[in-house]
Amino acid sequence: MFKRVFEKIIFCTVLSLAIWGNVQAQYNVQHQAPVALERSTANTLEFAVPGISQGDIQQARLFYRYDGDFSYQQMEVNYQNGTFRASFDIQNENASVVEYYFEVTLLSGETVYYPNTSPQDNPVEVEIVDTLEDEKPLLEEIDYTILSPTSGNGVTKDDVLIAIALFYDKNNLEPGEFRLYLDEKDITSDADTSAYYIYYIPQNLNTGRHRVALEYEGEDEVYRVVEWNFAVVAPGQETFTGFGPSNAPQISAELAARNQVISGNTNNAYTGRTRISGRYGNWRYSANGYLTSQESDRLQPQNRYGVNVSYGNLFNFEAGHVYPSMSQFTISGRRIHGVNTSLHLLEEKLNLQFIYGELERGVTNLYDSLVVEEVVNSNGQVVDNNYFSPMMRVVAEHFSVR
Amino acid sequence: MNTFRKFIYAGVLAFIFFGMASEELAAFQQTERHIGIVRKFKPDVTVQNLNIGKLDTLTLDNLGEKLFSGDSLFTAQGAYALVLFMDNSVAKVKPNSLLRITGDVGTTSKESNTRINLNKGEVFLEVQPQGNNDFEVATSRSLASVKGTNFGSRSNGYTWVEEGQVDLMALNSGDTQSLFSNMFGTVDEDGENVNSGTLSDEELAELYEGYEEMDQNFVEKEMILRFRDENGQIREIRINLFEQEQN
Repeated sequence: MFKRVFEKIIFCTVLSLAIWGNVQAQYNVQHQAPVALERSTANTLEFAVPGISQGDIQQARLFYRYDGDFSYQQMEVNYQNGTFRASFDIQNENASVVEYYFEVTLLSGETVYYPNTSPQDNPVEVEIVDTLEDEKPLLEEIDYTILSPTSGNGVTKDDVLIAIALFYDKNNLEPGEFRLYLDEKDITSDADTSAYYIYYIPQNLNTGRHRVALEYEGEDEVYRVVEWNFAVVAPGQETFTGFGPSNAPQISAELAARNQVISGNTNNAYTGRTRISGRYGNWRYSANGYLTSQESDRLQPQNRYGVNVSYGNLFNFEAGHVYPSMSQFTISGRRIHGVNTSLHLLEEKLNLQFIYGELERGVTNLYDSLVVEEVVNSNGQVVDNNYFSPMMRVVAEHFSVR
Repeated sequence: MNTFRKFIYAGVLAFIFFGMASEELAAFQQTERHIGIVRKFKPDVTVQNLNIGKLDTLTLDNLGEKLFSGDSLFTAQGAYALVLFMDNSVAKVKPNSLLRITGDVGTTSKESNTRINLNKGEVFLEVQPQGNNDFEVATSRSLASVKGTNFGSRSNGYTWVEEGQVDLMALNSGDTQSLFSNMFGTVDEDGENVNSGTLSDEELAELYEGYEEMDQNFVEKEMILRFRDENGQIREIRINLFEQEQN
């Protein structure tokens, strides 16, 4: 008798674990963190969630902070062709590290993260560099002449010869060896690397651009000697690099519908998303809107809209649901419903910023019968109650001179 | 008897020493720095150095063949060669030419001296600015000294300048004339007198005939086509193309 009960308990436990595991593993975010992110460049971070579709998504956000800041800033992430893509421009000039995590909120209420456990405490950490160029030190003791191919020029496929003449005094050079790379691949063993002349004849090199790099591996450090680009060309062939910038606006629209029935309860959701953007000279503009049937008075805003107008780095105006950043101790990446405008003069030495809007809207409590308790201050004035979630407004002005 | 033995021992030792020394000398000559490479060629091209018994007829595997001081290069009928020197100066060698190159290379790219003895045929040179270095082309009757220029030279002493300056000297008399762009100079058979004149662009182009196939680079250029679209907006199409370098 006891044995049968014990077996049932074991069976139920295993079954529960299996079900729990399946539920937890329903969506899994896949992401390959980059080695480094480039400053002042539009870096793209991609996240894939197998099994998810446009109709499942309420919103996706990337939370990020620099150099271990107290709080995270956030940005919305678009879902396109089965992948979440965040165009991440690092505007902080001094930061050396960025930490981020990714959050997808589904219409079902479920939230999926990357990293999937304690993302706020264990974010992805990536180094910020000014440029992703190789940072190896230059070896000044070696002078060189690129004999072939001439930097930036093209050669035909059957005429490719990589040749470099080197000039140096052996006595001034630490012991080491030269390494030759073609398109990041080490080809030293296939090349003729004598003391003062290095050459290599590639076989069947594809048409297109290629990069050669010569390094010197010293006893303690690897030095850069020279690197340059060339192209293998087919005479008569040209490359179309596309039209120049267009002033025509870009418009996109998405409609999604979801039907969900759980235990007889229907929970359908319909969403529409649109965006229009464009530029004219230094002027840029965009407007976006997101409407969902999930909008409710009892929740923070689910419908979102916004407009943005900017002129170069001089002027920026945003209205609607915006994500302003003033400083990490005031407003930094939180969504507000209002306006955010800024003016940057004298090469950004003089900066003005003004923010006004709602951080949270007031939400009425669901249950009328709840006993209302008022919170009063020392003067007996009511400052809060538990009847509803209060609206939070923000007004902020910022003036800085650098 | 002892004296005879001493002679024998001394002779044997001297023979052994001489043998080792000559091997060392050959090895040194083989491993010293080269002063140029054969960047491009059309068979048959032969590289020879009688001092070390070198005789190579170049095949495709020899692209980039090193040229050492003292090497001779011969181009057969219908052949050509493009020689790159270590400072990136170029010598384009026409068919049926024979030249011998000598020189040395220092510890920087700015330290090199080069001399081409043109025994037969014709060459066209694109010489990098030389600073304090020497770059000379000698024939049996003339010596052309250059400091950075594009010019041609024939074994009969005829020299023409496309760009820059060449000092042309008659070897026997030392008579020297400076030739500038669009000029030519000749040295008589005795190597006594230099005569010069000017060339039209057409004559210059004729003199360059036959060297085009040795032009090695395709230079990238961008072509922009502007047109007005149906909305009246000016649009651009950018086309990147590689154009063969022309001298």
